[in-house]
Amino acid sequence: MTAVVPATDQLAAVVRRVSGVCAVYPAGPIVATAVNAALGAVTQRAHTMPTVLIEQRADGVRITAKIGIGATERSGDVCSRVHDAIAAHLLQSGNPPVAQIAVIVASIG
Amino acid sequence: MTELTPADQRFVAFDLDDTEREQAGLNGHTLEQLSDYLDRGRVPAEKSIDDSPDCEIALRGLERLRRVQASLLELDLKRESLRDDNWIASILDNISLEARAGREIPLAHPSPTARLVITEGAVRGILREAGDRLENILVGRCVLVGDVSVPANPITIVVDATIFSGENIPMLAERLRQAMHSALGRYTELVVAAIDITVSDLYVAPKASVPDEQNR
Repeated sequence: MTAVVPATDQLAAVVRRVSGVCAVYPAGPIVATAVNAALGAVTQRAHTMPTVLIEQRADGVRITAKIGIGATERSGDVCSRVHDAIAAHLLQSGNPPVAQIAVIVASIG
Repeated sequence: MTELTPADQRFVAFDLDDTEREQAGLNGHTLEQLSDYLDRGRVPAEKSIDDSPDCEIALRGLERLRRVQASLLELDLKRESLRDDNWIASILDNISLEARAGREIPLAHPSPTARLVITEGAVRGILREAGDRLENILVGRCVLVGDVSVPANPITIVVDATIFSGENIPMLAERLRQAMHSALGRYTELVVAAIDITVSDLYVAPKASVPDEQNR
């Protein structure tokens, strides 16, 4: 049976619902994000980047979420909650083999 | 090994006039563009700015600096004096430099597949904010010295600050140290060996302008 990996939008919604998360940023590589922004400026169109990055690799799926947290939160607590929420969602949606769930706190407050 | 700028020299990590580098750190934008965005009240919304945590950190730094500038301007108007804004320019340069994401600082989690981190840029942002929340002190530069990517590896925080004339410098430096230590404890698992603070600027409000005696 082939495991189904949830769409990036679904995972972004899961991350946004986690208590203490106040922003979800595009988690792609910086160069890709910058190129995308430049393209948007040149073409006058909004180029959207996936917020939660999903990569299928030989050893399993790799998920990366880049978040902003509230000033009153503790980074470690919010990161753990986001990790656990993603893990639970993956389990519910087909239980694909997971190589890594990365959560990056990129801004606070 | 990280080389530190001597205390009597301005910290310059790279050519501050290099616009391309500045743009690379701010998702394709310059600090001037971010400043214009603030002037416009962030309207119309620019996705490439709003979607960038680095821009968000820089914008918050700019907002805090603007509040300080506004209160200084009010003071200067009362005193009918002119300001020297060179020190503000150096803080602006550091806001741009330090908003970059930088290194990743790990946070512990029991799962072997978990990789939880906080960016160096976010940490510098909260350190700057912790300092700017105190009255009569402004954080200039803020550097995390040591290998922050290794859990439990002791690191040092090196801070340059501007203090307003009339304040007790050792007391204010100690309050800054405590505020930063508390912020680091809340947001990171870093083992901080020391927070070294150098008061590199003392802001003295210029003397009131002297009336022209001949016109009396």
